[in-house]
Amino acid sequence: MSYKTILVHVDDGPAAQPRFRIAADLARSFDAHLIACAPTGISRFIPPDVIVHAGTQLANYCSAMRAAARHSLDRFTRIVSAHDLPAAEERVIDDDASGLVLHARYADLVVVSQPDGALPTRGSAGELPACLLRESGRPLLVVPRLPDARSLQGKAVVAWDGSVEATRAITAALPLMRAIGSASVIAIHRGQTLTESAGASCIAMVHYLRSHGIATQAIYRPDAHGIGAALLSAAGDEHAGLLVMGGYGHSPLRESLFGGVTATVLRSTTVPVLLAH
Amino acid sequence: MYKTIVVLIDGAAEQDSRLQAAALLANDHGAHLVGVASTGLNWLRNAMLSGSFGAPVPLPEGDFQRLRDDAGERLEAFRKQAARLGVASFEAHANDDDPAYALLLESRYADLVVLSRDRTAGEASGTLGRVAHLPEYVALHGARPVLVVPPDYADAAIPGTAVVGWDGSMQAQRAISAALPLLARAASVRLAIVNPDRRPGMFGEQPGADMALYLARHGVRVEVVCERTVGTEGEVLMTLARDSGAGLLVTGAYGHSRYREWVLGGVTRELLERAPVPLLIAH
Repeated sequence: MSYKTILVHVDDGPAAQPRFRIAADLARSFDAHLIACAPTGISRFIPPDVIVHAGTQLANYCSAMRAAARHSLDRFTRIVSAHDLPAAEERVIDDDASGLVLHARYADLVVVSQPDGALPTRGSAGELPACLLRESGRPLLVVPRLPDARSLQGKAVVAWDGSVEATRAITAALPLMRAIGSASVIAIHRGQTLTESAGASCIAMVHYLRSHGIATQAIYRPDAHGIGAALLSAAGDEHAGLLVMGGYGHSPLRESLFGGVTATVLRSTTVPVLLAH
Repeated sequence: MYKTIVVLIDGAAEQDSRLQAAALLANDHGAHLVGVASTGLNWLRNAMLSGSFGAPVPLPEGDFQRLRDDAGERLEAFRKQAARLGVASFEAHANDDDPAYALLLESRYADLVVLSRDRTAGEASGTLGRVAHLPEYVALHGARPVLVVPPDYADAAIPGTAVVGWDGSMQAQRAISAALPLLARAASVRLAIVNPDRRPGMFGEQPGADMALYLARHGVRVEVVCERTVGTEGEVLMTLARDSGAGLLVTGAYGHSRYREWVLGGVTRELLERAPVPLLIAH
């Protein structure tokens, strides 16, 4: 399996530039079709004739939103034109997150930016990763707002906890991990000791990744300051270029009440994260 | 890519056809084949210790060993047959778990799980397994695709020609992604959409065009087939498979909810019970 269709979220935010570059690099490395989607924010449920006839104000508002989406696509084209790519397909799409979900269905990978903690999260790009992951079922690559030079070059660090979500993330990340060439599977243990079964499971996953041609080793860390912190610190220690993890494995209620590993990691990561649910 | 294939070794009558299919795929894809045999002893012990009414009559100690010996013999037979079928790389795993649980664990470290079609209701299973619908259980609770092999499967090419049931759902998308190593080498793939009008909003003006494009970029020779029927979707897919001489059917797996099956279609009980060709499911 490889990435043959990659979708990148297009907007005007400050994090857009590194995201566009990484998406374009991926499209070139994997010889993939790149689809740039700029959501207008206009609900796809408004019938078109309402926008035209409902009065000048709504019509002006909608056409301004469309123009903004169009403008951000032009900026996208300028930024990626240096890459040796066949023209990316550009789409102005309705809605925001839910519009992207529809288009994501036919992509192998969806590229979005790390949410900006300073922004209010309701209905904005802050919610994008969670919404896309749960609703589209497609793997997500979250690009840090300030990625460093090791992005997608340094080894992959794989957060392994035996879950279905982690398994899906690993499957989705295989083409990228093969390209990078090396990985570390990390098992995070509660308290002082690693249980025998957790250790054996980690080793088994190492063998699985080796069977796919990825030079892999196992590492273990305690969860002294929380699982998210342990993952991020291991990624730093390993000079990682990619973090692979299952996303939002707990219920949405629990995540919103207690915070979740995914939220912690996305808040602070400087390494691109490949997530699946 | 399929690098590791897990196959259940339970000594049942359907094991031969199942192993034939698994070996064929292991050879075609250069994959390592893992035979998994379970004694079910852990479940038995737990059931007896907890005094469960559902436990069978306690076995004398010697019989525990007999169960282990049985599993050992089955795996020895598997090794011999895998070698006979020309599988280059294989290993045997014995465990004391319930077969369904063991398969779920092993599937994490594999790319594909090969099982047999369910026996029809009323036939006793040859093992201690408590799970009635094993392929669906493994697909629903694990992250790996399951290949469901009909008992009369001999050695037909998999996929040859493939029929893929597409209904726009996440589950069908997962099945398609999981099937890509097979679809890419199919002589041709018929992307079948049944009654698209029943799902307004799911398909655009040209049902299947988006998915066909997605597949074509993966090198799949795909053609879209739209069928409208008053019969069941399962019937349509099976007829299409028969008419095309298909070697593989691919659909999403949804679980038991009758309502969801009616609304979303996809894998129905009838496909899991009656598909005439190997069926790949994923959830």
